[in-house]
Amino acid sequence: MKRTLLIPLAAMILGVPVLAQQVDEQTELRAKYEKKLAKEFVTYGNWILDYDAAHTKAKAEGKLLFTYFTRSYSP
Amino acid sequence: MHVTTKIEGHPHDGLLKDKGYRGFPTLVFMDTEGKTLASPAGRSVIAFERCVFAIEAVDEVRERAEAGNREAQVELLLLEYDLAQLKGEAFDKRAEELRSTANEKQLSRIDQIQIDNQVEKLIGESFGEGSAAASEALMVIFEAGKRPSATSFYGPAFWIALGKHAHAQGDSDLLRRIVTGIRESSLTIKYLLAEATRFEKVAAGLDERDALFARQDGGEIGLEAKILLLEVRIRVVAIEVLESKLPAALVVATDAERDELLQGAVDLELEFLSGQFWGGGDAALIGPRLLELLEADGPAPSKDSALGAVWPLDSWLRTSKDSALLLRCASVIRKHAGQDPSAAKVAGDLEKAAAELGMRD
Repeated sequence: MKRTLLIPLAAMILGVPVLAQQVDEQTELRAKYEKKLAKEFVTYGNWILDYDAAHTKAKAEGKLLFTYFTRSYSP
Repeated sequence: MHVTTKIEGHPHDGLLKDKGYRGFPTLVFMDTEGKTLASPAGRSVIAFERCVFAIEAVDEVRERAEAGNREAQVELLLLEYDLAQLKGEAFDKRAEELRSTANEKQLSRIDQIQIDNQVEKLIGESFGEGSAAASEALMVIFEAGKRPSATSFYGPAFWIALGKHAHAQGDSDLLRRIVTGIRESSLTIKYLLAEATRFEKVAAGLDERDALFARQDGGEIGLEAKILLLEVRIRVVAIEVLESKLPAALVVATDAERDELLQGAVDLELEFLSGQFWGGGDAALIGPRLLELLEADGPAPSKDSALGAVWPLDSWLRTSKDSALLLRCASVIRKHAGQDPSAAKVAGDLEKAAAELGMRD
């Protein structure tokens, strides 16, 4: 009985820092994304950042989609 | 614009991979159904315009080409290149088959694309074991008066590889011809222009050294420090040669020359080791010596040389569990290159890793 209780307890204790680290990483990734969106090359030129919206607009106007792929997760 | 974020649940975060591409930045044209059509063959307005034209023209040209029209077959070859559907050797093979039917304008474009292909291939080889042979082959292209196109992604690398080759040869005339080539190329990329200025300084230094050699040949004595200092400044002396010439030079050096020579010796070794690291050297062997040089009580290295040592140190310590070692490295990075934001970040990361190890212990 004691043993079965100890295992979930240990898992919880070990799990808390891992979860906290994951939350930290996600917060950092969101901050990086916001920083990227504020860059001049993103704000300049009326880029559509929502793929679904761009797709719908292209379809409605019968135009091609020109997509610039970049990333925000790197420093 | 699409931004890959790695944020959990972010819509279409894997879109680039889903479309069959990798690497950033990537430019892609898609149709209204989201089907990929093409990616411009270069990062320039001309490449962009050619790609748009090719998307519009390719179906009609393909039809004529498939019907046996030879002129259309050459047109199709060029359109497929502009759509980045045909590259390197595949392009060269088909170009040779069609060369005899191409008109003058098409031939001129095929020739230029083949030069660009050749430059691209040689630049790739210039980083590996065949770097000397690649540099020689690039020199052959240069001496034949051939140049990469203004839109070639590898144009700047072509000029820099040539400049490095001429620098290594200690050939001031060649360096000046390369600088002229860079200025005539109409490339305005900042780092390339900075390299051109550096090549000019090296050429001037080589001439100055030749003048000192001439004075020495004429019987003048005590020039060893001045000659060696020039060689260190323009980086035309190997570390072993510097070490062998240094004692004699220090005997005749002024105080200022002495300080600069000793700092130069540290800089050269740091740069040599950093170069070894980027060339695939073992960070576990290079790292300890870099740390030793940066911690030494002797002359401090220049900021640029110290900065060059930061990433090899970072790479060496990435998996280290030795918190004291991490802190020592963070300390020397802050001391010698701390003004640089990315170096300061590396130092901060090392300190953070050391603190986490301390908490775990």
